[in-house]
Amino acid sequence: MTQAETTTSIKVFEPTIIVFACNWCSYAGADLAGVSRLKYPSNIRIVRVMCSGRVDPAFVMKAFLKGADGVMVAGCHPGDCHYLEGNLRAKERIDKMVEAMKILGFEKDRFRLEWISASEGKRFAQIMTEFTEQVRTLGPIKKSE
Amino acid sequence: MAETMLGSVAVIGGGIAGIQASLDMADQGFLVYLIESNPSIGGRMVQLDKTFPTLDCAMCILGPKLVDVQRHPNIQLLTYCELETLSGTPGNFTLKYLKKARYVDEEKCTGCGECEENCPYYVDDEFNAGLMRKDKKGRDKPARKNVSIPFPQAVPKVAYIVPETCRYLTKGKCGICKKKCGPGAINYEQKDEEREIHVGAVIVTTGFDPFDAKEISSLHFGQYPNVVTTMQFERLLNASGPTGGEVIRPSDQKHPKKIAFLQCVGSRNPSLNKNYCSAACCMYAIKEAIMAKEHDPNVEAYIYYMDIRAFGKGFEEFYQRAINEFNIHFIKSRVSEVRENPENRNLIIKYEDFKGTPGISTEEMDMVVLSTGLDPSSHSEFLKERLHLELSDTGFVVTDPLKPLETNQEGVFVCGVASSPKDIPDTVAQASGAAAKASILLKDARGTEIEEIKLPRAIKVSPTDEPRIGVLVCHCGHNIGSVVDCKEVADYAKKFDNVVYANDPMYACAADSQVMIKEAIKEHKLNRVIVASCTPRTHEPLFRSTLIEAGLNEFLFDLVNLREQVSWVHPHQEEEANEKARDLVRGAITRACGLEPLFKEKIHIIKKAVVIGGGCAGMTSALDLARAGYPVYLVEKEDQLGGELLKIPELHNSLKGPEVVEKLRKEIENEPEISIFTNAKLEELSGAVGNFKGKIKGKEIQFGAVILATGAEPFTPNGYYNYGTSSNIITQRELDERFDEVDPQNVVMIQCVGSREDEAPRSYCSRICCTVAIKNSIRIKERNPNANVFVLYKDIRTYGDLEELYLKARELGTIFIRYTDEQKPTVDADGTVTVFDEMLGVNLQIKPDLIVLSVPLVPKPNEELSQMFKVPRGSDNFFLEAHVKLRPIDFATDGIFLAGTAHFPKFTSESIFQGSGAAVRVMALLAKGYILSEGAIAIVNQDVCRGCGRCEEVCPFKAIELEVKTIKMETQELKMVKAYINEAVCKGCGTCVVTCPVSAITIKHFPDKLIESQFESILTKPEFTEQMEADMSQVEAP
Repeated sequence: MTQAETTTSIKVFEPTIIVFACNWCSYAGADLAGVSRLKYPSNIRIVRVMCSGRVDPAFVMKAFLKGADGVMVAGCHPGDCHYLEGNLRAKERIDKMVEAMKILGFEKDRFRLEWISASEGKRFAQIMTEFTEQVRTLGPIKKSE
Repeated sequence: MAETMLGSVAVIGGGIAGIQASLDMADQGFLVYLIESNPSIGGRMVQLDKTFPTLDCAMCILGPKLVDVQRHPNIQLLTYCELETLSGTPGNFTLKYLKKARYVDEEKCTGCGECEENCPYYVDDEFNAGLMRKDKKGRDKPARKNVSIPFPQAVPKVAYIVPETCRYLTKGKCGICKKKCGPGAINYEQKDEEREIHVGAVIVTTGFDPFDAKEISSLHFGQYPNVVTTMQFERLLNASGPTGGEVIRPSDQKHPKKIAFLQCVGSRNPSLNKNYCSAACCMYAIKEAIMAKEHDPNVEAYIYYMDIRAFGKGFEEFYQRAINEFNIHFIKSRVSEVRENPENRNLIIKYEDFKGTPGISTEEMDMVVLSTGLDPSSHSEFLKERLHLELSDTGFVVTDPLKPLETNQEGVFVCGVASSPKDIPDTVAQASGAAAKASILLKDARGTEIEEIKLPRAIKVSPTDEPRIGVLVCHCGHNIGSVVDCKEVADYAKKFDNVVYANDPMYACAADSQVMIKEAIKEHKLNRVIVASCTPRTHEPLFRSTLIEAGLNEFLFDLVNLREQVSWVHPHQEEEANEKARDLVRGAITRACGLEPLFKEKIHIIKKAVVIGGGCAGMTSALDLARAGYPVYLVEKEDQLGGELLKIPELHNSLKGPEVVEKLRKEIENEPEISIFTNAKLEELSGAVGNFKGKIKGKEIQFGAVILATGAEPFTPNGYYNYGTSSNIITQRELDERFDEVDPQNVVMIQCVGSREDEAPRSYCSRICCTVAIKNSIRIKERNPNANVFVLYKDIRTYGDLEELYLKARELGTIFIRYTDEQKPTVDADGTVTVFDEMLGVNLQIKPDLIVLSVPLVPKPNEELSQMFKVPRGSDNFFLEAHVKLRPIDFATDGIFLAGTAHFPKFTSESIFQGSGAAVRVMALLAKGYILSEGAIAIVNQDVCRGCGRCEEVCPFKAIELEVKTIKMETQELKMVKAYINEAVCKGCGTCVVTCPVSAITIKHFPDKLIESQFESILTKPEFTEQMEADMSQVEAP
């Protein structure tokens, strides 16, 4: 086998990432990334929820248990929430969950909470690119995690 | 006035103005005939690639409106029809029109495009602005066949034949289209038909035609292939244009690297009898230059301009982004001539550089784009001859500044570019305004000509029924189809047990696809529908309506976003994009299995409105609402109505502010439906759309909708140009007020003081200050021709007809000196003004006896209302509308609207039409007497609820209350605390669901089990994708 063939046969690890995006800001930001034709890795799978405050920390844990290599919750910037303060509630709950994750031995870098507005298509693409790389470096999630 | 008042209206022109006016009338229960001379509605906006300043895709925001019009039960579309005559009286007109032969039977045509595909002949393609397309053999051909569908999203999606060039119709030969047409819709025998309708009112929305650049011979448009118009450039940028979105030179198909945009082609040109400014060209040129750079970062774009007129909301910021972020070059100059370099077909432009180099400069460009102005539509002559409307010298319909929507013919209203050049948001607001005027005229006949919508019998779907899912995977032309193999994804969907139907339409949103969906629901007994196309944020309502029309509950629907979130963001990763598409569709299928029908409750509403702010916008809104029959509470915080107008003795159009107020005030006082509250404000607000409650001066009121018209006031320029240190340094407003007291010999006016020079909130252009300064310069010069008036400016932004005032001021001898941000004027302690004149290249010193500062309008205090109604403000602190382009007078929150300078600085006539526009938005909401609740709301299982009250704490809308329930046991009564949710107030955010410690609350449409099943399904590839599984197992960690 030539060296060129060897290099091509080793595939890079492609993580699967679930992003819970709120309808009003982050989902719209993802749409804007599309309208602006900004590219980001195809590893992202967006699940639309009306508000980041709708995301039960249990969803995040279940997504990991079902094999997601990374999970993100994305909501409006503080002050922008369509439902006024759902995003702040999300943060309160998720901060607690991250503490619990550490205790349970999850790699906390597999999870992120981000605020992305409807006008931040570029930022959406950037964050998705960064996070995909971050999760890629961590490798596939182990079932024992 | 007619004896029999008719509850119908004819809207003449199917562009965005006609569409908005039609929807606003139809929603109230008037019958609308929308007459369009072209084969499809959509007007000019459908030709645009993007819209400024948000760069929204024009078709994406307009497409759903086209379909709204088509599916509206109260709108009859009369496309390809030409207005003939109008007779009768207001309230009862007879309108004759010519239904032009399409040579295609509208009832039979399915819009499949087979005729177009096979037609061997081409005609000039006006939709693509005459651009050519390469045929299969690489030859240049016009982009349109002799028989064609106007454009992919056309409404109606029906083909038409151009008779003059059809071989069969002219020579009796060919006939291919007829042979190829499956449904047998081609009919060569069709003839033009004269028809007539009877209507109560007419709204004229005939719009514009782009200026024909051939009229300016020195620019050689039509001769040099690489000189194109901005409309052609839009089509070059557009993914569905003749080049598939590639910006290429017509001469050699190469990508141009140096592109010049020449402004004011056919505008601001007295020699062509076009004194007016076309108002939109600066912004669309900037937009096109930005888009050219987005397509190819190596492009250098140059804009040659006289003044950059970025006067609308968000425009100045957009202009600044073009300079700073996109490095677009702006050169102040008018290009006099374009020559071609015969060797490479590059273009040499000749211009006078106002900065630096004296004499004529030249520059070689790869492509030249002409920013053609807005000519009155070719139909405007019809308006004069057939509707007897008064037209201006330049061909626009004449209106009165205080009645900007009314024509010289009673019962005939006008809006959009038909009355003067304007951009889309102003056009939309005017269209709503014109609808308000027609609604007032016909109020007693409302609902008399329409039939109740008869919905088909609802298909019963119970949670225990086996799901039968239909999946449509949309190509969206090439938008999705060029990346995702839509047919393959549809086939993949079919593999799932519950999917009984799958298809891959070219455009799922097109009208024919709606028919297809309805038929599929019937034929395959579908009880769930999934469309995999674009974002639910724009298209979910459309597909939901289709389900309703098929009798299926609208919540048994899900949309998968394959465009914005797959094909557009993963264009060169087809394999990965397809895998993602399959995953997302699979997740939706799983979710769909658990969807349940939800029912929206009819909520009775109060048919009364509150208008906050008694300036001219608020007064107009109140008057229009009252005249249409809706009681209004008009709330003004000052001790009298009138607002800022009271302080302006003379406006630019010679009207006297206080007189205007007095007239409106008298009309209001004579209107029994208006309750006026001065020195008052609204307090203790509660409730939501349809059922608000509040207090004014202690009086409890109830109302269904509210208009915020709180206005704006001049900024106080403390710290700018020694303002405040001398009585000879004043603002334009102070000059307005003291005009009769001062008699200056030398006046210096400084523009853009405190705006366009600061960071947000005052980075915007305040729109009116150039005109105000020019007005006052004219007044000074007319009173004392020997007075010297110097106006120091950055750009003179006298858009539309206001340009005439600018010309007049220059004729009278006002001296205009341009300054830049780098070299701003200075005012010394002794009052000497120094300014660098870039044309002369020297510093000028002027010792005036009066310095007048042009300051921006800033919003009046609006923070409290913003919090009270939970409506947003922009970075400029003005109220922020739902959508800057197509919803300029709505807030995102239902039942709350805005008008006047609370939205952005504007002139009186603009505040007036916006006030009328906001009024009709309220009428359309209140007319029915009820609204429907959101279906996807939270519900409490009171058996589980233990009344802890945490949900009540977190509910941001105060929709949850704890109530005490008494339960009777055999011998005693038990009092228990339970949470209760108000359906009309709940917005369905779901934060209470997550908060509830005992899982007593669930949210319809987004319950835990549906969200969980969706992501679990995305994460779990099923067994029949063995190959994919095998691929995955080869993956090695790096």
